Amino acid sequence: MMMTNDAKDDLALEALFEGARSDALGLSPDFMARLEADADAVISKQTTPMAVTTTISLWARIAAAMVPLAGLAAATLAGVWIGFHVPSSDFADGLAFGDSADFDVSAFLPAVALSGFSDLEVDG
Amino acid sequence: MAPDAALLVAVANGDASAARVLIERLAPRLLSHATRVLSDRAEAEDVVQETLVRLWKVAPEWRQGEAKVSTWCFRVLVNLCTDKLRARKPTVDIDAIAEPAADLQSVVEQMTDTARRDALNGALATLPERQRHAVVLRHIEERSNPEIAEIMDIGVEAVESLVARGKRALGAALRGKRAELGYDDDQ
Repeated sequence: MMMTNDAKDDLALEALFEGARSDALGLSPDFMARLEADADAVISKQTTPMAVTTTISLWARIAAAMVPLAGLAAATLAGVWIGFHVPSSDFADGLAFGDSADFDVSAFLPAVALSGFSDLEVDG
Repeated sequence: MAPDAALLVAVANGDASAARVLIERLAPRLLSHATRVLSDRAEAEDVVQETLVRLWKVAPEWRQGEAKVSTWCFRVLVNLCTDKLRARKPTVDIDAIAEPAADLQSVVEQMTDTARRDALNGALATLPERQRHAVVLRHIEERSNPEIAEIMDIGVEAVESLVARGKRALGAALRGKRAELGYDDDQ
C-alpha cells in the first residue's frame, strides 16, 4: 500500500527528531567553569547578607519584646504614684452618697417613663 | 537521586556542590534547546548562563511544589531566547510570518551535502519563533503539552496548534528531500 505524503513526512520528521534526541550537546570545560563560578558567586553573596539579616532580626525581636515591658513599667509607676498621693476628703465624700437618706430613683429617669414607676422608692 | 527542588533548597543554604549537580542535570538540556532555537552556540551559552544565575538568585525564595525546577528554567530560557531573537530583528514580528514553507524549501534546496541534523536545524531555524520552541520542546526535549504550555505561558490548545503548524511546515520543506536525506519511499 502506498504511503501518503503526510505519512512520509511524519516518518522522515520522526527519524530526524530521533537523531536530534540522541545528539546531546556536551558542556565544554570552559563553559562548565563559568557556570560553577556564577553559582559560587551568587551563593556566597546570598549567604553573607543572610547573617546581617539574622543580626537585624535579633535586635528587632529584642525591641519588640520591650514594648509590653514598657507598658508594664508605666502601669507600675502609675500605681506607685496613686499610692503615695492620698485622695482628699472632699473627693471621698463626693463618692460616698449611699449611706444618707432615701432618694427617689425617678430623679434619674426620663419624665415619660415615670408613669408606671411613680411609687417606686429605693431604700438606702 | 535527590529531586531538583531538594537540591535547590541545599543551594539556598549555601551548598555549592548541590549547585554543581543541578548544573550537570539542567545545563545540557537547556543548552541543547537554546542552540536549536538560536542557531548560535555562543548566544545559547549566554542564555543558559543567565538562566542558571537567575535560578541561584531565586533559590532562597523558591516555593516547594509550585513548579518543577526544570520547567521554571525552560520558561526563563524561552523568554531569554525570545529577547535574543527579537534583538536580532527588532522591526520584524517573527510570529507574523505566515507561511514559512517556501523559505524552508529553499533552505533545504541549498543543503545538497548537509547531514540530517543540519537539515533539521536549518529547517527549524526558519520557523516562527514560537513554533520552533514548541516543536523542539515537544519532539526533541519530549516535554508534555501541559508542561510546554506552562513553559511558554500559553494554553494547551495553543501548544497543540503551534506544534501541528510547525511540523506541517517542516514536513512541507523536507518533502522531496527524503531520499537526499536518507529516507526513501520504502521506509
